[in-house]
Amino acid sequence: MKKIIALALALALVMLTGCGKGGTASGGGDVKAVTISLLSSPASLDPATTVDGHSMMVETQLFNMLVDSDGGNSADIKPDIATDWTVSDDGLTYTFYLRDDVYFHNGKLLTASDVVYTFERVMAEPYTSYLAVMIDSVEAPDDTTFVAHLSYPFADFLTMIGGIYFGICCEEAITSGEDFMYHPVGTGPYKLDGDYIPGQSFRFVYNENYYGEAPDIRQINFRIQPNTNTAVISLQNGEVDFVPALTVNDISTVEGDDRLALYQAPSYTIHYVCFNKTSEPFSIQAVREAVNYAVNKQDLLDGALNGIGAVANAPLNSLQLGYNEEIPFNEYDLEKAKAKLAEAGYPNGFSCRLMVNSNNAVSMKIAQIMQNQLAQINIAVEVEQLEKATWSDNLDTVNFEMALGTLNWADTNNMVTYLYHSQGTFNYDHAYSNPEMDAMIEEASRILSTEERTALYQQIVALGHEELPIICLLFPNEIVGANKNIGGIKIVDNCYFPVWKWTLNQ
Amino acid sequence: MYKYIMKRLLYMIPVLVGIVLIVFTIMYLSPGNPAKMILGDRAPQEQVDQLEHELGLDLPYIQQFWNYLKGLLHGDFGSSYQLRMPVFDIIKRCFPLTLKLTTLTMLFAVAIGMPVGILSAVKQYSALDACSVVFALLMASIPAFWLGMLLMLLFSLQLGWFPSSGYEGIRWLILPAITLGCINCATIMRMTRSSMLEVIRQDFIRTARAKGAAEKRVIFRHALKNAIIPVITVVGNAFGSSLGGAVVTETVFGLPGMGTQIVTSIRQKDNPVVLASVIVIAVAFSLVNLVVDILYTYVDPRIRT
Amino acid sequence: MGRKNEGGGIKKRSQAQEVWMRLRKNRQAMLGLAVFLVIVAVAITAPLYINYDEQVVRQDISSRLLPPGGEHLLGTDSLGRDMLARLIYGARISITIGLVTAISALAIGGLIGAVAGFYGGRLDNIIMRIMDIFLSMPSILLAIAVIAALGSGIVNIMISVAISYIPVYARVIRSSVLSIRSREYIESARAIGTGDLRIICKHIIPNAIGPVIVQATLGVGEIIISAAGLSFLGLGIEPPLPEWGKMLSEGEEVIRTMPSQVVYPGLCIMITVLSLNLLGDGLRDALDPRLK
Repeated sequence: MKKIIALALALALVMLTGCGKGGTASGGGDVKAVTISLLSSPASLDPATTVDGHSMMVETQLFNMLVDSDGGNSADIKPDIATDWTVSDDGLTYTFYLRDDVYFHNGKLLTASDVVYTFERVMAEPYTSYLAVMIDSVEAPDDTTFVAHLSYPFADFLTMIGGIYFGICCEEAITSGEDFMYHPVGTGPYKLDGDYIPGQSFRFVYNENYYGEAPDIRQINFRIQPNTNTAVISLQNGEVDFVPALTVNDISTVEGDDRLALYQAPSYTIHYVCFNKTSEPFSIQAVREAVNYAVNKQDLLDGALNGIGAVANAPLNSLQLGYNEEIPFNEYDLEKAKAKLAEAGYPNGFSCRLMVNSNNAVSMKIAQIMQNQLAQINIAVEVEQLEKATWSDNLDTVNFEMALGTLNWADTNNMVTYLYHSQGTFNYDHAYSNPEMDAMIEEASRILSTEERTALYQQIVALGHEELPIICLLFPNEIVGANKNIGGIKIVDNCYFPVWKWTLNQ
Repeated sequence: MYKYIMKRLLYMIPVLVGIVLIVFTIMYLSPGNPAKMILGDRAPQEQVDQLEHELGLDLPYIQQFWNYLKGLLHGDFGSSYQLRMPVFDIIKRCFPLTLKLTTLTMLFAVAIGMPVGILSAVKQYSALDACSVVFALLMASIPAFWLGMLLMLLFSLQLGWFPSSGYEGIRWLILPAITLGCINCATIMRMTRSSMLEVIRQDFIRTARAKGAAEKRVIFRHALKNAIIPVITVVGNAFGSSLGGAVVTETVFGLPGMGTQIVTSIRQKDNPVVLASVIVIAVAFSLVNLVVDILYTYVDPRIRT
Repeated sequence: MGRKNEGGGIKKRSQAQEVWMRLRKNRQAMLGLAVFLVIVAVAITAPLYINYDEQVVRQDISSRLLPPGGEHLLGTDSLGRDMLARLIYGARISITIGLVTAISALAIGGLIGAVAGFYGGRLDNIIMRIMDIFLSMPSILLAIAVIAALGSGIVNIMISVAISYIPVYARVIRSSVLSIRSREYIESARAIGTGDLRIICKHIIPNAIGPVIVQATLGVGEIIISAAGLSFLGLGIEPPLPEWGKMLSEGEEVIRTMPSQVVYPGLCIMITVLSLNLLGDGLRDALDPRLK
């Protein structure tokens, strides 16, 4: 019965995403193939040792998760390897019922022990273990049942395990000795063809063992192009069909070319300013408020991103749980800013350093514009551009005054925990510590009702805006350029591009 | 001769140890935590500290340096932090590409630079001479990355003759080789020209001409043979410096060679890769110089002592 | 390639005059000199006709990326700043970087080379082996690593580029010192009991300086290009200073839609370096008249 439901659901899914003609398209000799340009080489093809977006994007094509949450981006959970699941009343035990017809790339049948192995790896690997802190233990009562015991209720659990970190790997392939990072064995619609050598082009082909419907596109070529400019040139030349990370400067080129299509979606990447709140002047809240009044976020958006994207009032964009429209977006008001500075005891301003990661072009622009804006209230800013390694080291050791940073999380819980929790990884100086805030964040992660959670998250970001440990500036857009003959492209996130849902008209 | 080569090779060892010491120290002193770069921004501090300990990065400087040297003596370059594979494999992958690019560059530079240099010396003050002098000066004054960008705009975007970036075959190397080649070509052209001019004015050429030898024979048999020595030095130097100078060009054209790899590794604090790459380039550079010196003795037996 | 100056015994002032006479006859060199002087003059007088705070630093987001013409002769950059004003101020920065770096590298390298060449023996051997170590590392890589350690910024750029030029100058000076050391007038200075330092400063350096001046003139151009390259790789000057390499890298993102953002700074670098190369070549010929 469950299988039939799952099959029906899978079919419905395929219909919904518009890939109806999968089976018949590539009957002839020509294999339908697309070429995707990547800015840098994926560091790993193994989900449990992945940190970068390129690896995640590529792995999505190779692995299935227990459930489908659009790569961890959606609370709308669909079945994948698990056809069905139950949650205990206390929210601590999740039981998953697995398909019995899923085969790995190497032809081996997937069983619940592979899932146990995968989860235990995620819990143990330093790259991913922090994501799985709520999991207490996992077990496999039989070959098609998988049980996860949590140590506390966690509302986003299903969304989270639909993310690529929890892609189900073949236990035998990992333990047999071949380096899994470069020889991935999953169950996904595509598999690695030939060798993967970092820095060089590589190729995925259709996996004949794939349990779902065969995709229209049977081959994916990946090409590494570190420079967006050249990537766009090759898109125009037809050398590549899909460029996932365009900048705002490429929009007019792609739009002006009638063979190309442009896709945009709000990004989950927040650009923010953080402060060293362990010493003056930024330990004084009025000073941070003055900065907030002196910064014209619309100018930042126009200058740094050609006006493409959105001004942020909190670290959550309009698609995220807890988005709060009541918080003002742009509070630019020089008079108020000067008044706040005077109130804080700095009527004549001061000078300070603004630290920025020189590898991030948008941050660099924001820094220059902020330097100009803060000069208007006599804060003389020296922009300190540092290599990413140095920048991140200085953040960790709280060796900065003001710093520009970015954080990308689709799920609200991680976003607010990282930024606002007193122990949050991105609350660098940990000087922002409000027990009320901590309690609210911890509570929100455990509430199962979406409505209640939303309300609580709205309170959390409102409190964050009131106390201003950071100032949220901008959300850019995800901008993607593609050949017009590719159909079914939908932009959810910058590292989730399900090629098997696309079609190709040749 | 054999003894001479052995001496030169032995002589490279202290230089290499010095290079390792300097680069190791620079990388050690530069801020940034490799463990953090491996695990990514979002990793919690405890995980970072633990990995740092596992990699032995919390040891004192002297001990870390000693551990590295010990590894080197066993022929072990270590493992890349970022790519988590032996550094040797990474070098094995990147170096051939850079070598190909450099060789193509030099072929291009010599094939155009030498003949034009000779011709403009033989026909001094001619239109060709004037053009070549202007070209050489212009090329010596252009930043390579700028030239690369302009070439890419013209030949790749406007005309669509060459692919813009990445590497899939020799066709992907043509624009980068022209970019790097133009600058080297200019140097070679200038050196060939001035060296030929110097030789042509010497007595034995006048004698050869006076004896009624054909002009071509005079130029190729007598003049060129003597003029070639400084040119060889220049070609050798250019070859060596292109090995390192390919950095910016490789970046512009997105070629996965040594240059791109080193720049990425410096940024990611992938110290084993940085060290090994610099060592390999330095060895290649020294070997090219050695070959140049050996070539000297063949071209001009007087130098052999 | 330090070619020996056969007229080593001639008095130094007359030699300088002679070189100048020959240089003046060289039209290319005079063109280079003239162009370079014009650029320097424009750069020095820039504050007289450009308001740094208003035209170079102040941004106007509403008038960004304007095409050339109208109020802004060469258009505006991506933050709405006047291109022409920034290019002119850029000359101040690029030329300062070139000159300061070349002169400091020359001073340090020259001293090292002179000491090595003058004393010879063991000391020479040790010094030159250390220089060899630096010479065996590609200069751009050394500079990138040094900047990664020091952090970016105009002073650190100068330091990192200077480090790779010091051994070059040390070598050149050493070889010319070696050729002079055994000359008679040095021997005689020694014989009358002149101190080492005095001999180096009074006799050796002035006589060995010729090839070095040529190297340094060409070096200023190379250094401008190297610094621009570092800026291009994102390791450059702190904002809002307008440096040509930085302007180039900022313009690169709009290269397809507004090539002028990339063309102008590139042309500025090219013309400046070209003028220095013309001058340097002329100086070389003037110092070694056998070629012309």
